[in-house]
Amino acid sequence: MKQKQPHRLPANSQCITREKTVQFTFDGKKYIGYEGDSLASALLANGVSLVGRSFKYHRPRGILSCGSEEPNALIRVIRASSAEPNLRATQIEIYDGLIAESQNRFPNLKLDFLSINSLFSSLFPAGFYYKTFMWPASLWMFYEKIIRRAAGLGKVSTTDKDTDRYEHKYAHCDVLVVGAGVAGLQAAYIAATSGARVIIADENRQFGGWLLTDNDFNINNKPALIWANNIINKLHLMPNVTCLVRTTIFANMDDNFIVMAERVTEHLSQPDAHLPKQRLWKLRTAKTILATGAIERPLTFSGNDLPGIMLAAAIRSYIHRYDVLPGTRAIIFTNNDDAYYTALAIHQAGGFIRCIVDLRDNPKSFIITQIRNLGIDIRFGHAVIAAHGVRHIASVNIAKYDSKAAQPISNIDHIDCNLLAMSGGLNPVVHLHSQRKGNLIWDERTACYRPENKSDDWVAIGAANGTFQLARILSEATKIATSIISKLAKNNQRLEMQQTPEMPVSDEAKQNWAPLPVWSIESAQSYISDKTAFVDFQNDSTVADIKLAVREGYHSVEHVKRYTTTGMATDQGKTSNINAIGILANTLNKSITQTGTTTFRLPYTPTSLGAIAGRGIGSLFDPIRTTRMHSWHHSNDAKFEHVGQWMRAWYYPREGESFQQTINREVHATRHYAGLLDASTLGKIDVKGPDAAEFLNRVYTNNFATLPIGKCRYGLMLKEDGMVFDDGVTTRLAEDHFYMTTTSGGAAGVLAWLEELLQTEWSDLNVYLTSVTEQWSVASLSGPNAKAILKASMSEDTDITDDFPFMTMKDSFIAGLPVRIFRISFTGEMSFELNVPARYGLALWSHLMRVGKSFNLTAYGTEAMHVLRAEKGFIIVGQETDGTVTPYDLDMSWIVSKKKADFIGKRALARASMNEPHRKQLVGLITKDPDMVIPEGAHAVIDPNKELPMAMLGHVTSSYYSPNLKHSIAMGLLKDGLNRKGQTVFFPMLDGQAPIEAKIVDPIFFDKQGDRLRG
Amino acid sequence: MDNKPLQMGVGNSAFSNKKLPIIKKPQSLDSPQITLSEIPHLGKLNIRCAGDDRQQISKLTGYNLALQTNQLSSKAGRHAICLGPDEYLLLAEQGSETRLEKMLNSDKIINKIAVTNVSDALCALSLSGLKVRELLSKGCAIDLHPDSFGRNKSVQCDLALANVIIACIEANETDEFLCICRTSFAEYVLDWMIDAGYEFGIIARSYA
Repeated sequence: MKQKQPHRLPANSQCITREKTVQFTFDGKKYIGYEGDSLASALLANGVSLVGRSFKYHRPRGILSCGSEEPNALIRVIRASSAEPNLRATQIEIYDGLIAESQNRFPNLKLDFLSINSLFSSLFPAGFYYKTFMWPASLWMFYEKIIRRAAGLGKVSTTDKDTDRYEHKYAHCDVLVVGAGVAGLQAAYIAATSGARVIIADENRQFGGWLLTDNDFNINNKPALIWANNIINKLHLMPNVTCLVRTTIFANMDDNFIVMAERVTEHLSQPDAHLPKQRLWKLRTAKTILATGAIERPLTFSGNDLPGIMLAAAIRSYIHRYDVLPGTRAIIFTNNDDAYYTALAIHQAGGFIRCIVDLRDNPKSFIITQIRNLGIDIRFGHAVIAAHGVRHIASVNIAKYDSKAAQPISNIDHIDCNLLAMSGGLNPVVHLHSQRKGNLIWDERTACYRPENKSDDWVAIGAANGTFQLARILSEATKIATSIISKLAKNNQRLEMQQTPEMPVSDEAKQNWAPLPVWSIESAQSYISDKTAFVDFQNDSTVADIKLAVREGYHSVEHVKRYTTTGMATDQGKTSNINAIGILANTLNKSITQTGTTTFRLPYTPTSLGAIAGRGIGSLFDPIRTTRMHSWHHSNDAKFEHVGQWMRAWYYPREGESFQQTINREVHATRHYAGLLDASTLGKIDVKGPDAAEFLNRVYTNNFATLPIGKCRYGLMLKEDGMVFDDGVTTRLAEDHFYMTTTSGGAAGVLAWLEELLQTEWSDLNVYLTSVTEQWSVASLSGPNAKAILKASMSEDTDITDDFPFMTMKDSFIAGLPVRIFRISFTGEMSFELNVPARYGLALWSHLMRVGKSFNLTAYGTEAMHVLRAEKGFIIVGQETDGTVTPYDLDMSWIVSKKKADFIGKRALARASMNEPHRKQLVGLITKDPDMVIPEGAHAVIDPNKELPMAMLGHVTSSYYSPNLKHSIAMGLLKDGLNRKGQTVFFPMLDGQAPIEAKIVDPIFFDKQGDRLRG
Repeated sequence: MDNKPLQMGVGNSAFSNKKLPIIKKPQSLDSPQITLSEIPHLGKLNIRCAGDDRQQISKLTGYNLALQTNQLSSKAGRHAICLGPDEYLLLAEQGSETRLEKMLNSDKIINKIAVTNVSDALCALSLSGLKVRELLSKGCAIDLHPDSFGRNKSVQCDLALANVIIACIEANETDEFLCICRTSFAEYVLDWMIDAGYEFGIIARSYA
């Protein structure tokens, strides 16, 4: 298919490949472009200037810029894998089969129903959104529905999943250079020749920056691009240099942590499956050089948002870089010399310059003379008062303009045109500097904010530093890169600075860079309104909005930003912020410096969530840890529960069994016969050293110094605030060797805390801690038949079941496996915790299940374990406690030693407030209706019929149905609970059910004397 | 003695759920550029000791403990990794770790020491090939450039969401790295590595 591209110029540019045509679709229509085209350049070449509708008023919008600052041309790109909204047409590279569509229009771009909004723009003034909150309040629910439908920009993928691959990568370097224009290339080259590890990255598809557009300068007496290509080739060949294209450095954070998004394959028609669409780089650099260039400012006048009105330098870029002339009859509107080069480019490309409108009164320079000699109409001291057109610019009003008085002072001319190039000066790209709270300085001469280079970590050079002339840029880049490397080389022997780096020589820049800042063009004409003089194109905020905000009392730049939403769109006001500050300053009659700036925040350009998530999705979202018995649980139909990262067997339903039926069966079996629990996830710490006993004595509330070898003891660990931190059974294996167990969830935290104590508080203690959580697999055998099963599982010569009292430990063998047996209990039944080296875990478990078959041994999961321990009133740290609970609150004063000189938390427990009656204390709860299980977390009140809000006594921490008691049981923390035993409390329900009535009782519901557990 | 269950459970391979080899590579590549395998049945001892005891332990065991933190020493297939100023991990052939443990615990000269057998707690993976550093850099925040992470360098760090010990056994055109993680994280680490290695081509196979 051959198709005409009406705005394409004869082949000239090196940036596009004319031999390779590319077919793409925009809003359902097929077009042809060339390899190297951006979507914006290809659309302009095809004569498509209307590419979107604006956010609030749905006004027709075209392409404003040619870079990442683009506020208007937001596009949705659709792929088989996903669809991504709000991409800038100026950054999308076209590929064969690209499907792109415009946004914010219905049913189509030309006929958009919501463009009716622009007729009612007086209904959507600054602060419109906030005003709907204010009055009338009752209508907000109504407004909200309508606003929600109209608001929001772009549609995300309609498929369930984004199947594209996104990856992460960590990297380190000595020098990061952001931007590969003249300044960046020269700085990177100097840094690289010193041997430094350099990363140079640019958001565009090729290095070269504005040299790709402005190719009429010389460096070292050759065209600048030849110099640049030479440097680029050298950088690519240096092993210490990483060159990254299509890579946006979007975050500059503390300690020189830099985040960048590399678009690896999204510009390709058929990307390789093994390569990510995007790669997120997390970079640590010693120094950052910001060579991010500058962004041109629009001029603000009525109708300045019409398609066909573009930034002057962008037009030059489309002509020189893409061989595209966006319009044939052009008006140039400028306050500086740079736009004259655009006039020249349009002229040379065969376009007709209707006239140049220059706000300055009598500027003189080489380029102005050159343009005048071409016979082009130049009007100094004039302004474009308004632009007119329906879906494209068709004409402008021009008048002599007094910028001090802010008014036209002559008759208004009407000139037709189809292109308007505007230039309001340049803003250095200071975003990455701002993100690190770098200061900005207003430079009167160049009329821009430039960074105050005060940091050791980063420095801005070139246009990003407000240096706009080629010769000065080169010398600045050379000087600063040299000084950075000299500093780095002091502490790094790898680096060696050349004594006199080569300084490229360029012809002195031709233009006189002194723009005349005129922030908005005002007019008293009735048909010209400042309600269509746009400041922020993306968020549709106008000169009128800023003035209104000031009238309504918002004077701070931060307030005006939020009230008018200027600079708050996805482009973060790249083209609007400084103009807005200028207009605000004028309105307030203040200087720019007095008005101040807002802060640029990361990311520099929108970054897709896919890139941020990386591969941490699906099964790699979070590690799943399983025990060595997992395969048995799995093949025996266990249901699992996630406990932190651990996946534990929750319950083992038989066919047709409900959850509750399963739990009832498992609990019943364990109480009447025997049960086996996989307790491998329990935290385990080996405590070794001559001072081990003393150490434990200090970290537990009870006495461990006197614990005999071979004996086990339950301990509570507090933090310094006296609150319960962890619990577990610790066993003395030898004089200087203890085996500590912790809660499953607390294992890592306990080890870290104990290690901290040893390293910082008690470095005199000779104790070493080693985590052995995963060295041992643990099966907990529990129930009346436990002893018989253990006996049967052992050969006669290894049988140690006789004379094995409660809270003791023995080593032996089961089926040849070395096993460490603890006679401790978390169920209240006679129990043996069998520890084997983890590799034997499955063997032990399978062996016990086989042997136990004739003893009715039942595997039980964590849910049954909870019920069994709750029947006994045993606490679970983290369930009955929440960091605000003391041993006294748990009615466990028996475990707090009165004799020990000290232990962690002792002093805090002695504080008077610890014994105050209003503290919440652990109690048991028995419901009036035995089948009613109170939801965990339910709040207790004394009288449920009292007026709301009513005072709450406390809450339920654990609640289950106890099949052994044939009754619901619960534990809870209630204010003054210990003195309330026997009282009745109520638990109001959220769903409107009647409050549940319960009696406060002792939390030990079963076998109060503990006869069963001692055996 | 009932030997049947013992056979079922012997060994501590964390890859028991995987059918090896697993190969993931770009179509354009003939063969994977990274080889990954578990070093099964490796004896592992955690040693806590201080000062003068180091020399005596080195003398008794043949391991060189005169190491800086985050360094590794290798001798005849045995490795010692210095995890911290007073902490070492010794890697030995299966079975020898219990002999070493007994020897160290019964020595009369050593006065402050804790020897703990962690053979089953930890899982050791071997990674080799041209692109190993690139693979690891997808999940490891440490600078793995050969200039700063050369031969015999080790580090405890995060690899994606797992805590690991990484050590460089060989630094040349086909790097060889050791990656040690908690056994319960081994499957995650394996899955993560295979996924991260796709770009370069990776084969996970049993240890040769």
